[in-house]
Amino acid sequence: MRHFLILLLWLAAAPAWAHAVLLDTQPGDGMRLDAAPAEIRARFNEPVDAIAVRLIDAQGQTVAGPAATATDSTVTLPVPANLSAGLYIVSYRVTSADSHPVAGSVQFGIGIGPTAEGQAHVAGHHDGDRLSWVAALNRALFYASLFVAAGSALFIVLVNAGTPAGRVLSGAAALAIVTGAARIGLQGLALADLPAGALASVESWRVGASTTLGQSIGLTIVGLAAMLLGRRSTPVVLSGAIIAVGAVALTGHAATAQPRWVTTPAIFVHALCVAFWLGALWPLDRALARPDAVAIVRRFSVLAGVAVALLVASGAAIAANQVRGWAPLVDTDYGRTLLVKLGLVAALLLLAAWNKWRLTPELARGETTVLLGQTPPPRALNLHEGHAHGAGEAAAGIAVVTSARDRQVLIEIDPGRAGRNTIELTFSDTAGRVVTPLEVSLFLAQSSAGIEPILRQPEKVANGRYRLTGPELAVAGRWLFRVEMLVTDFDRLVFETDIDIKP
Amino acid sequence: MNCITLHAAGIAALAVIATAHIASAHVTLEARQAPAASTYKAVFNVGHGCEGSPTTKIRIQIPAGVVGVKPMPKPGWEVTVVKGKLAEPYMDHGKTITEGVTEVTWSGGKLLDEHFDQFTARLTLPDRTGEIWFPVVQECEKGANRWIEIPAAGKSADDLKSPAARLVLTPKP
Repeated sequence: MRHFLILLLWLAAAPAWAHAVLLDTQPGDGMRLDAAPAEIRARFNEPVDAIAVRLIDAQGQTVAGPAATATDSTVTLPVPANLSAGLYIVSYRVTSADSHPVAGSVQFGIGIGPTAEGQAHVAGHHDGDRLSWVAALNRALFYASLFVAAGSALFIVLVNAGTPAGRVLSGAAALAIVTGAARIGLQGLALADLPAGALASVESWRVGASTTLGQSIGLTIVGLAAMLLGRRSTPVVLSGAIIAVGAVALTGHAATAQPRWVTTPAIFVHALCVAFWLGALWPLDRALARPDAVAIVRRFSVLAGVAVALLVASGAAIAANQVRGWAPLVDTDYGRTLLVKLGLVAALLLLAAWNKWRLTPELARGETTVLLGQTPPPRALNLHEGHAHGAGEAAAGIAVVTSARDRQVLIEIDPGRAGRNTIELTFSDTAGRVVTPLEVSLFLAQSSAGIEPILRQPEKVANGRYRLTGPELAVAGRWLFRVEMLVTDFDRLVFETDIDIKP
Repeated sequence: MNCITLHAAGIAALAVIATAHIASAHVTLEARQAPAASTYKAVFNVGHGCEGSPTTKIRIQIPAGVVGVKPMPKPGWEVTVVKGKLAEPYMDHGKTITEGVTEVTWSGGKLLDEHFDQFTARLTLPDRTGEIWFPVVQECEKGANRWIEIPAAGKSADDLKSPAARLVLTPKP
C-alpha cells in the first residue's frame, strides 16, 4: 500500500508534458528534389515513438520498404533506391512521452515541384457512367426550357404584348421547373457519390440544395412559378423572368470569380441577353403571320441590337476575367471552348446583320421568308451551352457547404479530380452574409490511403474568402476536409466533411 | 480490506491518474474540481511554450457565471483585466451586478519553453454543478497556442487538440 501511494505521488508530481510537435522534415514540405533522397527524416521537439510512418505515391499506394525508426526526437524512414519521379506524401503517426498520438503529412516531389504549375492529373478522362450523361442531358434541357420560357416572356413584354402567352411558354416553364429540381437531386448524388437509386433519399436532395447551385436553381424555380401563376400580370411575368434567369449568376466559377462586382452582374446581363434571343424564336415566328409583323420585327431589331452589344460586352468581361492572357486560350479546355463559342458568336452576328439589313427591308417590301424566325436563336442555344460549360459549375469542380453552429463554409474545389486543385473556402453566417475569420486552417486527410492530415494555411483573397492552390489532393478517394475558423481570439469553429475526389 | 480488493482499487486509481495525466499536456487548472458557488483560487499551469518559443502573454477568458474575478499580480508580468457586460448578471448584497471582468491578461514576461510557471486569479464559481471551461490564449515570441476548444456535450476532451482548461463543479457541501 505504501509503495502504491508513493507511485501515485510520483505520477501526480511528474512534469506536465507537451504533445510532440513536428519541427521540420528532410526533405521539407513542398520541396522539389532532383533525385530520390536516401531517407526521410522528421524532427520533433521531444522524443517520440514511430507508430506508422509511410511514404505514399500519387496513386495512393504505400511505397514498400523498411520500417521507420526513432532515435531521440528524430524519426528516420529509409527510402528504396529505385523511387521514380513524381509526387510523394510522407504520412506520420507518432506518440510522445504522454502517449498522445500526433499525426500529420507533408509533401515533396522528385523531378517535379509539388507547388509548380502543370502537375498532371493522374487521369483526365471523364468517367462515362450513365448518371453523368443523364445529368448533362438534364442540364441542357433545363437551360433550353428556362431560356425559352423567360425569353418568350421578355419578348412578349418588351416587343409585342399582343403575342398570345400560350402553351409554349407554360410548357417550357414547367419543363424548366422539373429539370431544375432534378438537377438539385443529381448534383446531390454527384457530390455525395451516391448511387442513382439514392435519388429517392432525402440525403441527395439535402446535399444538392445546400450548394450554391441548389440555391440558384431554387430561385429560378421561384421566378418560373411566379411567371406561371401571375400570367395575366405584366410586372409579375417580367420580374419572374428576370429572377428566373438572373439566378444563374449566383453559381458557377465564372459568376463567383473575383472581383464579384464585375463577374456576377456580367453573368446576369449575359444570361438575360441569351434568354431574350433564344426566347424570341417562337413568338417572332408567330408574329410573322400577323398584319403588324413589320413593326414587331423593327422593334425586335432595335432591342436585339442592344442585346448584342450587352452580350458581347458582358461576355468579354467574363472571358477576360477567366482567361487572363492569350496562352490559356489554346492551352486549356475552357479557352478552347471559348474559342468555339467566339466562332459561333461571329456567325451569329453575321446572321443578325443579315437579318437587320437584308431581311427586315425585304419583309417591309412584303417578301416574307421563314428564315427570319430561325436565324439567331438556335445559335443562341449553342452559345449558352458553351457558356454553361465555361462556367463549369457542375461539369467540372465540386462545391460543398458544411455548417457548424451559426456559421457555414462553402468549399469549392476546381477541378475536383486527383492532382493539382484550387480549393476555395467562403465563410458566411446562416443568413448568407459573408463573415471574415481571424485565422483559417485547412486539414486534408485520407484515411483509406493512410494519409494523415496535411495542414495548410489558405491565402486570404477577399473578405471571408480563402484560397489554396496545390497538389495536396494528389490521390483519388474520399478526403476528410477539416476547416478551422477562428471567430474570435477565444472561439474557434471546426467544420468537417468528406469529399470524394475522382481520379 | 483484503489484498485482492486493494490491488483492484490500486489499478482503478492508477487508471484515473493516468487519464488525468494525459490532459496535463495543456494549460490546465491545478485544482481540477471545486464546490459550486465557492470562492476558488484558479491556478493555471503553463508547462511549455509554443513549439519551443517562449511564452510572453497569457490571456484567460472568464466563462459565463464566474464572477468576482481578481487576478494575482506576478513579478515580471503586467496584469490587466477587460471588463464588460456579464453573460449572467448576479445579485450581490441586494444589488444586481451586470458588469464584471470578462478577460484577464498577464503580459510582458518571458517564460522559456523548458520552464514551468503558474498564473493565479481568485474568483467565485457559479451555483451549479457540471463542467466549466476557461479558454486560454498563450502567446509566444513566435506563434501562439489557443487552448480554447470545448468538447460538445457528452464528448470527452481527450480527442481535442487544444482543449480549454476544465473545472468540475461539485455539489455544495
